[in-house]
Amino acid sequence: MMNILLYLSLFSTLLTIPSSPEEVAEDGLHDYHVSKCILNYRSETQSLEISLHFFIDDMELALEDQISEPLFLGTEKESEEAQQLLLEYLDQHLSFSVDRKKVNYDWIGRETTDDLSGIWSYMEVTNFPPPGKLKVRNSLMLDVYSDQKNLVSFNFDESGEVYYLFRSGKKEDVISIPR
Amino acid sequence: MDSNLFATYFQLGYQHILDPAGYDHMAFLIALCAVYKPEEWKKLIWLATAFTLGHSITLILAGLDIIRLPGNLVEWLIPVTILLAAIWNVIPEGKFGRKSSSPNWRSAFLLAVGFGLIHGLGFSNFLRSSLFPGEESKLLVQLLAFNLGIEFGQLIIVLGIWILAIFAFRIGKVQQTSWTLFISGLSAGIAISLMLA
Repeated sequence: MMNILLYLSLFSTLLTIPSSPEEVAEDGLHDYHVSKCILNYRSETQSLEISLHFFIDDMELALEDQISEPLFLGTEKESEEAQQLLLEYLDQHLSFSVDRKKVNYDWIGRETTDDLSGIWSYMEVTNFPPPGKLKVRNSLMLDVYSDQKNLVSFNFDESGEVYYLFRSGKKEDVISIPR
Repeated sequence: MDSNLFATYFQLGYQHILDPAGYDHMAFLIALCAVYKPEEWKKLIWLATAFTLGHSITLILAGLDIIRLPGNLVEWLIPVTILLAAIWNVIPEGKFGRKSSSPNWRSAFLLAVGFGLIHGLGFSNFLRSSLFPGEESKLLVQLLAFNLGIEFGQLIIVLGIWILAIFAFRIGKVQQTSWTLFISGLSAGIAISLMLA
């Protein structure tokens, strides 16, 4: 009976290959709740580039907390308020500070990933001399999922990434930057 | 710096398994392990490894974008597999083609691989979607570290079940049949609550 079940499940999975990316994006797989933020500091241009990947369904849950309408984030049907809500959410849940002073970042833009499940957002801090210590606060989606993990990597002048993991119970970390 | 990358993804792996929010992993392992005595600890380790094997296969296939699956099927299959594994544990000999008191070892192993295959999809979705241009070379380290983290998490759970079994059999003098019935009932209950959720 277990054999039959196994073959059935394998068979049914085979039936569904290949499925369209849209289908995958809408269904949401046995979800793994994680975001990824890539920080690149360039001393040449005195700037910090911020690239953030999150899953659309996760972010929608976080944002739709505040309004009743569906947002259709990252699609053609996207609601007009979506961008503003996203910016506010990011400002609240992904922040940087040096010596207790908040470092503001400029919005560059965003793009939906090829499989339509995620969004890459791009931000930048300009006129930013290399800080000795950069404090990162990342509480993205921690209010939505108890098992949310947020991965942050930091790369100083292409010297190699250092990774930091944020989760419920660890929303802040300090990146030490070589002078 | 790659050791740092490895450590981070290893951590993601075992935290994923040990996270109380993802207790379906535990329920499944508990159901599979219910019929084995503490002396059969090697089988417990093999079952954990079988899961990791299935998990790795999907991660590699889906991470490299060879397969994609609709998720609602996956969500539904997980509690169903747990429930059936639990029921199978307590079916008397001779019914439904069941041959011996302990379930077919090969079936249990294959089921663990199959369950691992299903579970691998969630993480592969993340890996594929969030791979930044230029990061492709790191994919292998990420996959390896995450899977070893998964295996480590499984072994911790299996160790927990093993310790419980030692207590039950050696100190509590619990009978094998009672143990199997109790543990199977526990995982069936979890499976049913997952199905209703």
